[in-house]
Amino acid sequence: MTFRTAASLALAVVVLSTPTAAFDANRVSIQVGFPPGASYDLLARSAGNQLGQYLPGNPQIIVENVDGAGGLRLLNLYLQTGPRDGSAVIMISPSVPLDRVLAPETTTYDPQRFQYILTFGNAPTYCVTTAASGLDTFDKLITTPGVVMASVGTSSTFYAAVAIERIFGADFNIVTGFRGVAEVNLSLARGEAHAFCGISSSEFERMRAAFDMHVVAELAPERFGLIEGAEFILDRVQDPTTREALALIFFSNRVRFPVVAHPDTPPETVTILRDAFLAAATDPAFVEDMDRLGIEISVTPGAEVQALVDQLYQTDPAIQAAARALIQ
Amino acid sequence: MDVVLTALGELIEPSRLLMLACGVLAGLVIGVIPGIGGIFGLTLLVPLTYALDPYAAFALLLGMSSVLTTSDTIPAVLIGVPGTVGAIATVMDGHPMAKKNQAGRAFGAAYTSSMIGGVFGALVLAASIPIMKPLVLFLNFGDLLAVTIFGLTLVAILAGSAPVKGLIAALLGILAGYVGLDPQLGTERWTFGELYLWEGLPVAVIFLGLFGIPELASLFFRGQIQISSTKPEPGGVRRGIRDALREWKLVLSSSTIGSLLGAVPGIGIIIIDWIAYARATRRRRPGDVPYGEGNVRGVIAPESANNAKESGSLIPTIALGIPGSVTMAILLGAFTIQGLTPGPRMLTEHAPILVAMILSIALANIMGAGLCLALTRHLVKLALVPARVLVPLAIVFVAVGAFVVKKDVLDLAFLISFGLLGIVMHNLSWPRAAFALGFVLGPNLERFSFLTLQLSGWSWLTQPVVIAILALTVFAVVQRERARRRSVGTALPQAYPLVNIGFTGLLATLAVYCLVTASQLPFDAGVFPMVTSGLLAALTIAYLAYLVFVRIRPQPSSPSAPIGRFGSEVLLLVPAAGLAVLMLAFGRYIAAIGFIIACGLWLGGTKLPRLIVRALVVALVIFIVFDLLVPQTWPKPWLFGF
Repeated sequence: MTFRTAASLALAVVVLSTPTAAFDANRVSIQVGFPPGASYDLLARSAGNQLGQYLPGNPQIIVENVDGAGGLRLLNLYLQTGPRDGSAVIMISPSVPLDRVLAPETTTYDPQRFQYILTFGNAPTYCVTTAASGLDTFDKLITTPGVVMASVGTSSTFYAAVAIERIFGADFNIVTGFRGVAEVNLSLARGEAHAFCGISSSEFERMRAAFDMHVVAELAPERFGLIEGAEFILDRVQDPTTREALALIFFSNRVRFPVVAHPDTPPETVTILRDAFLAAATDPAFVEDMDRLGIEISVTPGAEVQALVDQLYQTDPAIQAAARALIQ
Repeated sequence: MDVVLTALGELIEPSRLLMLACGVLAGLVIGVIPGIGGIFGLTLLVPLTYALDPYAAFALLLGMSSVLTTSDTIPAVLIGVPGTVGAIATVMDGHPMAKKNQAGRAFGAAYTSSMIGGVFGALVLAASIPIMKPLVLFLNFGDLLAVTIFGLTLVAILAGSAPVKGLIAALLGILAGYVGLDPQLGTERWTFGELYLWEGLPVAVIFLGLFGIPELASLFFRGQIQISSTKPEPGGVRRGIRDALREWKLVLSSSTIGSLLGAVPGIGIIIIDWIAYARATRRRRPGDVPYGEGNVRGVIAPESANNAKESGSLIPTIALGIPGSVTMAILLGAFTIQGLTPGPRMLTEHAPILVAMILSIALANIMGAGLCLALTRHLVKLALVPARVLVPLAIVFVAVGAFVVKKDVLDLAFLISFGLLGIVMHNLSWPRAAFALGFVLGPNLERFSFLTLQLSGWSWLTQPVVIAILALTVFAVVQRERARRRSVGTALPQAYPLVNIGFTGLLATLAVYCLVTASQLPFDAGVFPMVTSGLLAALTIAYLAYLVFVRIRPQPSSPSAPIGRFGSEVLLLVPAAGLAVLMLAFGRYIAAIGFIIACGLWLGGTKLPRLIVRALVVALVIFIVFDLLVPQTWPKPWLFGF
């Protein structure tokens, strides 16, 4: 082999092994806005184990926890200083796309500008009651006076409790100040609280393994009917505006575990990331991990998520105002 | 019995014992480096457990987490910098022991207590298997509120002969704990628009600043860890072991405190350590070394408690799937990765795994303490290493340990600011431990009060456990006050009286500012900060008046607090701040290398090639721990670097 042939071959190897121009990161970081151990973290790490093989150049994938302020710290940092080349994506709260609808005065970012890569989840949350409380139906939950309803700060669990109380005229004693779902579970187990709304099915299964619970209502914009005996809450609402407003509040269940790239990421890079994440999300090893972790996966591709968010912001302003009124 | 034999048979398989040993080694290394702690370790190890069976996975994870509080004693005793927040109480007497040429004794006592505490905790966990669930459900938020109030009275003990300063320091700590979003309404309190502060001031950074920096400054001007230059006390380790064995009642009672309180979600390791420490200080025989000046019981009590706590905190995680801390939440994730569901099934079909976990904890504690004891002979030699060598290295690790928390410029800013506060408090004899206790317990006091009142109303005051704890609280305060009155007149005169007046004035101004701004918050968000800052303002103004109008004796120069030392210690913050700026401008590697070489050249005594080697070794350790083992994205340096 002449020197020239060897050099040509070497060059060809280099060119072939060089990542495409639209994506040339050696390392991709999945930054998670929640602490280690949370379902977000476990999901990101499982996805990260598969993602590298589907990206050009097989980059190293790292998962980092940048928690604080319910994921808002990460979001703001990322929007200010995050890379635009696809070398870092973030996993944020599913309530973020909704923030500008529910809290327009305090939301400084535009969720419509985000580059949605995909969402891993589309599943309802539930209202659960302790067996000891005797509240085994949704009717009993909303008609029994003095029900102690637990909620975590001003999160979606608080919104769900307040909205149900207002719409159905329930006489809840909504207790805020729990630090997280774990503390709520403890309070339910002790019998201090009777009910909790906005819990995911995996959390519920974990809770039910320790003590007896009832699932009395399904909270989602559309019916899933996965758990028998759980009433679909929108079926109980007659007024169309209120019904749509409530569906809007539960929109976050439609886009659970969202992965987002920087708004200024080039479209071709976004496409590469979307394809790779989609492949990782359907990889058998990832699916097996999720089964083992009890995290329900229902992937929505990025373009579809983008369309859903655009649609959200085209909702009738009167309905948006009704949704805000329900949770204030 | 069959279950125990099955578990033992599974665990002693060589590959699983190897996993346990790897976990123990990882835990010992992580415990030594200030600022990183168990969350870092578990984040590092959990991904490795995907491919392991449950026995091997939990041997690795529990091996690591069980010994963190064993090796964190090393920096706590030697340089006064707690390796993890669980070693803050150990600093109180452990570091003074090292200064007195008793590092070996402190280590011997600490490791023996840690080992007994860890094994005892594992036994408590085993014994509590049948009653796990009722045990966890026994205490409600009202009881936790009573425990918190009891914890706050420990300030009286930590304040020593300066109760007013102790109370002011504790109130200041409580106020610092209120920074961030309030737990009821999510209203911002003293966040100044910074998202960084929404979750409050970062505990690890604050404690590294408050305790680590002042001790390093003090060490720097002392010249070496030991005050005298004699060789390390021969037989010191054996003496420490004998101390721990002689104090077996203290070891067991502190271990009981650790394992029982550890089982209660919401009570952190810091409060458990202080309760154990405070309990130890109740007994002081004539001729004993005063607490805070190197009493070995002050090392034995927290070290027994913090190792026993690990097993205790597993109880709610296993029994109910309810993690009491972030560390336990990560461990809970490992349960699900292994297909295990916490709850009653852990006691039936997964019983061998549960027993293997208990055995892993016991074995890990024995291995960890054994390894540390074996190393002690070499470690105590560090007590004679010149401070000009040790301090720059320690400052680099403290700074990197602080910066890794959030990788934000504010990590370093708070490290330096609280370092300054720590130096001032240290030199003016304001109890930093009281501040630390207030900082940890203040947010709990507020949250548990709201939760208790919402869930139980005022009827919580009629709960038997609450009545018992509050009665104990009153008894402890009265007893302490009597003891204090008996010892009136032994208090040291105030050092730096004018600086003390200035500092008190500054605190009074801060308290008034906090009172005014808290009064503008919504009631639920503002009531606790208002009451706290109101009390702080009243106390500081009264104390200021006392200092100004009631003449106090100025302290003459003394070897332990020479005039001018204070200012020099404050000036040491300048190179520390320089390191912080270097890290932001050029990244951690260039900064660490540059800082160590520059300090070496400035302080003299070391040839350049040796300095370069030392700096490169530090950079290599930083690379291995913070980049290779746990790859992460660091902020881009302002100028250049990586």
